[in-house]
Amino acid sequence: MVTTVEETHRAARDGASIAIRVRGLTKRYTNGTLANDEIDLAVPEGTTLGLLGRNGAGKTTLARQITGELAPTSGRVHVHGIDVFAETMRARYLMGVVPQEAQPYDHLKPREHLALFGRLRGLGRGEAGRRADEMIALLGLGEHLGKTARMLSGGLKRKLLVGTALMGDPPILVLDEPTTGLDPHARREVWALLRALRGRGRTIIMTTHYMEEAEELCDEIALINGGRIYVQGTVESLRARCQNRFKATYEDGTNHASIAGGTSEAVLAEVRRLGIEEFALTKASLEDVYMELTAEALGA
Amino acid sequence: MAKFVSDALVVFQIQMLKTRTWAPFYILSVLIVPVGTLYFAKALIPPGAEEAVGTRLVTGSLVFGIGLMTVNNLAQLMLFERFALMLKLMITSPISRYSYALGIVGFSLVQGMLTAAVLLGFAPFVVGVDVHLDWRLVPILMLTAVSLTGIGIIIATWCPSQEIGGMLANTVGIMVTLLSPVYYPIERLPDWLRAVVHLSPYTYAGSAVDAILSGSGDVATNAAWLALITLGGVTIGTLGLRWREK
Repeated sequence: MVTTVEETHRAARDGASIAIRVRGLTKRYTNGTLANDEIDLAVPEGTTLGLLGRNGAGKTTLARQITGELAPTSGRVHVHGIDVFAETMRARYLMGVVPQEAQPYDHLKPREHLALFGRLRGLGRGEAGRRADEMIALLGLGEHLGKTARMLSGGLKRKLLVGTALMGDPPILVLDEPTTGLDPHARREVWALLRALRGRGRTIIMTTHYMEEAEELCDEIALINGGRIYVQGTVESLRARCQNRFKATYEDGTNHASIAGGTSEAVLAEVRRLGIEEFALTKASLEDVYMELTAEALGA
Repeated sequence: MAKFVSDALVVFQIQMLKTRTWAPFYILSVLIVPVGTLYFAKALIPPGAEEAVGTRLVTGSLVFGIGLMTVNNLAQLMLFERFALMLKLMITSPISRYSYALGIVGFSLVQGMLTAAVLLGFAPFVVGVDVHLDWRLVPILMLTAVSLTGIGIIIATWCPSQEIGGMLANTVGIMVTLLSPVYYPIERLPDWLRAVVHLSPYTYAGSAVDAILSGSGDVATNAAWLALITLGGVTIGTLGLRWREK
């Protein structure tokens, strides 16, 4: 389904070049598991795309193939026109990557970690040091300069990894569950950083299980199911696909309850019919949309 | 080329910075292995036979001490980086796997050469023999140190778990050591094993080092074979270094 919002969104990007293009990407593991099945994907420059899906849907496999870490069974990935598998080194200059569950080198101090990985990204010693200092200020790591990465909290380690990915100023960021395991404060700090990067025109592709995170940060969502992209679009366009686009939430004794419907009028009519006096009428959240679409995808 | 070397130096520097945090353990490792192997060698010498076999036993301590220590440390280091998910940061950076391998092998080489220096320094006091030293010992010991690193690299990047990788690295190192005729003459092995030990770099390393330390024997031919096998092993290891999962 193509909505007015989606048409508007795509029309606005017509002039923009495609930062990440995936064509016919298939990954079948040696044990026979089909993790990705003929995936086609185009991420315009400056867009933040969220990859959502259940555990084992193929999100991480897709992210790892985009970074060139995992060879596909068939298909191609291009970043800014460069074939990731044929010219891996060139492609990696364009991508900052935060792999799922990766850990920083735990004997290095934050500035050393940033500067040394900056040098791997082609920065000279002086430039890498300057960039590391900027990154430490941006990440708020200034109080932890004397500690090794081993001594940092999970949130600070994650921020250090995001900073490491940003050394060399790559135009594309691939983040595989960047805030998993972080407390709400640390998560919001990473969000603030990613929001700032969005503002600077970076193309970001991120996998996440947090709907709030995807809604907060992503311009577009791709829902992966069974190794295929089931649906892709803005949150608004995905909501428009759903049968339940609005909901009223209310207290039912000690429980939270909700009534969903296709229009606000339909929801309000049902609320009145049930005689509910105190309620909140909102659009369906991304989590509601996700639950409906994944159920639909599983049934498809 | 400049980027290749610069990246290898960065990898080397990352490894060297470990010694800042864990210095006591590295020092212990560099001291204990050589001194332990020297005392092992001394225990094998029959009373009064120091002159006859002492040099050969110092050779064995040198070759096996630095060879095993290098391959084992390299494999354990790479296994740790891989399974602690640090290696992912390297793999997703614009760095060639050859630069990474060079940096890691360089770090292992430094450990191996420090071990060699301690061994040679302690040998006269522990074993009671005077050995001849000359400059040829340096390249030969360097080749010895890196001769099996190719196997270490392949084990570390292909094995399914850290535990199995550690076990394999130990097994291969010990097997190569036991089957290398440094502590015993090759003639004592059955014919089929002689063919196998001719592929072991330690066989030639032992002969070359013994020739230098004793001041007699063929250094050049053994050094050439050692260089050839080392080059082949390191090439195969580096080409086999898994940088992208299939």
